[in-house]
Amino acid sequence: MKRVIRWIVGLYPARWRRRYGVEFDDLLEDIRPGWRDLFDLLRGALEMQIAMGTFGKILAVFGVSGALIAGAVSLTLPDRYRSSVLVRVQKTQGVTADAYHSELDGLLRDVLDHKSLVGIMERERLYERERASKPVDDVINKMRNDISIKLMGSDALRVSFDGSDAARARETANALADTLIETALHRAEDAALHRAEAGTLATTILQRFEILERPTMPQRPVRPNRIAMTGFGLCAGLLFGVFAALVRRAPLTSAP
Amino acid sequence: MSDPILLVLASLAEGNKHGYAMMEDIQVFANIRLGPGTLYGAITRLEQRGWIRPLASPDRRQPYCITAAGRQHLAAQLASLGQVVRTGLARLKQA
Repeated sequence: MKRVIRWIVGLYPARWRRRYGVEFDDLLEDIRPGWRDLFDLLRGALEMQIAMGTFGKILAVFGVSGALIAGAVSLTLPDRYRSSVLVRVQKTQGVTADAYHSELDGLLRDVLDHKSLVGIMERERLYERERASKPVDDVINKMRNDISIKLMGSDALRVSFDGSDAARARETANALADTLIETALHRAEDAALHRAEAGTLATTILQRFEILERPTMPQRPVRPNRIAMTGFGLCAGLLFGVFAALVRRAPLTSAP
Repeated sequence: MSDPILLVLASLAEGNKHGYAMMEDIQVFANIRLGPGTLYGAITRLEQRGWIRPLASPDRRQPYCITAAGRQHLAAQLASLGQVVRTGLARLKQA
């Protein structure tokens, strides 16, 4: 902590440190600063730089402050883990691409419908805190946002789930893939029954469902990207620094 | 009243103090803990405006005293605040 404080005090303008440095160090020794004081010191350094610093120093201090604040914020965000399953959903020979895509749309609608997701949520004990405090439709929408299903190549779907717990993300991705295959089978059976009743000879659209890649345990979180957030903070700080340097008040006169 | 400038002036109105003593005093009379950066930001501006001045000191701790201009500014600010407080209290009683 002492080293960080020394470093932040070094961000104050040299002219200010020459005048107040000794007594300021003395105060910092007396109060034994905590984390809240770090941000207070950083704010003080920014204020003094705006009042007394050179253009380059203002930019540097704002840039460093932006990076530090964004880095600190990124540490407060929970980690999100992603687990994915690759499922083959092959179309029957002779079926058109439009019919295949339309059948996939119907399949995904069924997989992501209210009843199906509530079933997975209860089995995997997901969003327990949210379910206790929010309407179920809000929780379903949150779960839909955490699910991603993408067509890979011509006959496979990548089913992904993002969760705060790596093991639970993997189990949920598995459950989603199982639900996808079960739903596809039910739809094929229903379609066959319908055709038999109608006496038509049309072929089924999807014919083969299997899991190509089971999910592995996610080792690293996919979000938040702390390096990107810190970089963003640095850039935003530099921009603010330019603004602050341009609109700064008249510099303070030299203290005696 | 959470303006660090007024808090420091109010603290020094009682007598000369160094930074740490001001922090302790403000914590007691206003129940506000000024951070070190905020306190020295205020001290820098007050000294620049001529409302406080440093006193000679044999040790590293630097005491400050309030100047006549500082007292005048504090009195004007407190009078204005007092007016707001009186009006607010009177209106609360009426409501």
